[in-house]
Amino acid sequence: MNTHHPSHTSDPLPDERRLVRKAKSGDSDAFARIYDAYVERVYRYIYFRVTDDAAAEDLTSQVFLKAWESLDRYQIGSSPYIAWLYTIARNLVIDHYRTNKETVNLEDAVHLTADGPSPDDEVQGRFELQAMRDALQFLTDEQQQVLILRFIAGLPTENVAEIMEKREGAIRALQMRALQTLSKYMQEKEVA
Amino acid sequence: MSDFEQVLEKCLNELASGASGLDECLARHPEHAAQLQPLLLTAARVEMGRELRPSAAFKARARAKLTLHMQAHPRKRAVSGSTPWWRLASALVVLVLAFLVTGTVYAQGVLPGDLFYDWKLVSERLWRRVSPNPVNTDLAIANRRIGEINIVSNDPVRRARALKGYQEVVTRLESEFDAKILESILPPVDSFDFPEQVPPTPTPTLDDTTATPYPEGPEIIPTITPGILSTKLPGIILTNAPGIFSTKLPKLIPTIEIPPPIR
Repeated sequence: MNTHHPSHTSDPLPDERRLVRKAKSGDSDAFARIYDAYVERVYRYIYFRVTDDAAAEDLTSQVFLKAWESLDRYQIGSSPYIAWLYTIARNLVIDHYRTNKETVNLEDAVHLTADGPSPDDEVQGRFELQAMRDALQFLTDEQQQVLILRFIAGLPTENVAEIMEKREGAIRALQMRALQTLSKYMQEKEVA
Repeated sequence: MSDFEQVLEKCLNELASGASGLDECLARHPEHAAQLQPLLLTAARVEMGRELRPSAAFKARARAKLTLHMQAHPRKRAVSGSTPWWRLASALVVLVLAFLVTGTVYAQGVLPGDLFYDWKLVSERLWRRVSPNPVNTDLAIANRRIGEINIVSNDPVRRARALKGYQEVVTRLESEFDAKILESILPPVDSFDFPEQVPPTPTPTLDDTTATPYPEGPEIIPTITPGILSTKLPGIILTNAPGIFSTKLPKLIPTIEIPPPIR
């Protein structure tokens, strides 16, 4: 198990508050710096929530457009700004499924996504990520969100509960059931 | 939260923070080890998702789109010096002023014993203080009290309060009149130059007395004519009048009809 917990997954920008304050007053350069810092995290969250790469990119882009427009509603210090971005992303994914009536076709979903020619190890890495993405589709919507926010985004239970508008106890229970379901699915797949 | 949930949460947090490894965690909880192991391994596999990176092309494309969007939808820049704190304070001041103005306007119509009557009296004191002509203001206030007395005449308590207010105004007016009149009369009186030789007053004879149409002597009515009236005037002797005149003058309250005192 990867026992190292990369700090970049959940730690806020060192000068996040100052940048958000400047962005709120209309400074587009400050908001562009926020984008640079958080775009990968938002993309990761959305990537594992949808099965279409193009949709993942489009939704990621939309998150920041919406975040720019809704800066007034974010209260500095109430929660990390990345939690606010995840909330926007979560709502956009829900709208995406509602609008597109997207259903998961696992046979179609299992494919490699790579930008141009890649070395073998990168292909292998992509394959594993795609396998994880497919496996997550077997979970309920809430179970997916908990696992992605806890283990991919690296957020503490408290922030996950805030984003999902649930109690921490409910998040822990969801987390346990999600891990049990996913573990069983992976064991069955490996045996097969 | 069940015991197993607690152990799972604890192990996940320790692994995430690097405080302990998988084997250590399982060794510490042998009773749950069989259940824990697959879940912790699954969590570790999910963590592999952190390695995912969007393409550089996508990031550049999305950034350019965001920049265009921000230019097309600029945010209103905050006015320098107008922080939310100042806006809040300004709003508060406006609210307080509006409350004071509304309350003062409302208070002008209330009667003694009403909730806002003290407010009315305070506003009248302020009015008098800032008025260029306090005498006129006091006259207007006195008229207000008279009006109030007439309205609340059936209620002895309220009437007494209005009357007390009236008497206060009258007392103030009396002192104002004395001071004002003295101020306007004294200088010309003092500067009047009477002749040195005053002709002696002829002593009336008995015939003169009987011939006069006023057997008890003429009635002397002092009149205020600045520049003429003086203690030096022949024929008019104002007794018990220290200085020239003071409380002996008739009361000059031209516009007020003073109601009869309460018994």
